[in-house]
Amino acid sequence: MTTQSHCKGSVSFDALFSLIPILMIFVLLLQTIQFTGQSKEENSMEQDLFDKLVLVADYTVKSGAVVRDGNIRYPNWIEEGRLTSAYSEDLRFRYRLDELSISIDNPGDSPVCIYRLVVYGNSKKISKLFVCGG
Amino acid sequence: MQTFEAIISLLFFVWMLGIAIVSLEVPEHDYRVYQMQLSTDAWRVLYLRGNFEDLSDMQSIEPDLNQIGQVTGLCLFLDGIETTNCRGGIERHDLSISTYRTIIFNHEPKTVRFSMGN
Repeated sequence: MTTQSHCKGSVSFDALFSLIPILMIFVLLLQTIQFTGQSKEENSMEQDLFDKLVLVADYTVKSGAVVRDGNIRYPNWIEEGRLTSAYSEDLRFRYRLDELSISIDNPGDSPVCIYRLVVYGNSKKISKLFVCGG
Repeated sequence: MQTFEAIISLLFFVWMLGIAIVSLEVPEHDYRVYQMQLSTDAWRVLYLRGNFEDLSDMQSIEPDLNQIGQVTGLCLFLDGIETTNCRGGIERHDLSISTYRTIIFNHEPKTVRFSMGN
């Protein structure tokens, strides 16, 4: 009877001591999963924003703000007069962005900016078209 | 028998660990489409500036290549007419995009490899 209860106590202590590292590993695993999940979400949001800016920039240099001659459009030849705040605002609304600025040679204060290589004016000056947003 | 069970448990553990590691991996940003667009931009700008209208000597294209390099910091290589804005040879630079294009050079169609790098 005494031996039996002594054995039962040993089993409980064994279980207790094995449970502590198991719990520690479990907590560590949960923290790692949470951290990775956050990183994945941030990464996905950054990629999403970047993809939207790429779309806006591509539309702008291929059609939105290019020089036109009747029905002919000249991709990468930008007509500065078309880069109005109304134009940016329309695209910002369409692509569901919090902020958007499009300008030649002047990156905005937004956290993410990309550029496209363009020419502008009659002299076809080589320049960068900045598309910034957040 | 116990060894056999231990081996099965170990294999299962390694398999689960593999799944966990793969699921924890954060994917990298994908810039390939943007890089391709930048490469096309550079080609379009060279075209709009009239560099391919009567290309008979490779030096005529260099001022605009240098200008693009100054504005963007990119290295451009026209392999076939051996023209670049970055010295030191194509192999010294980390190329991100290469495309084949056909131009009229010395009144003859010529295929060149247009590469962009940093």
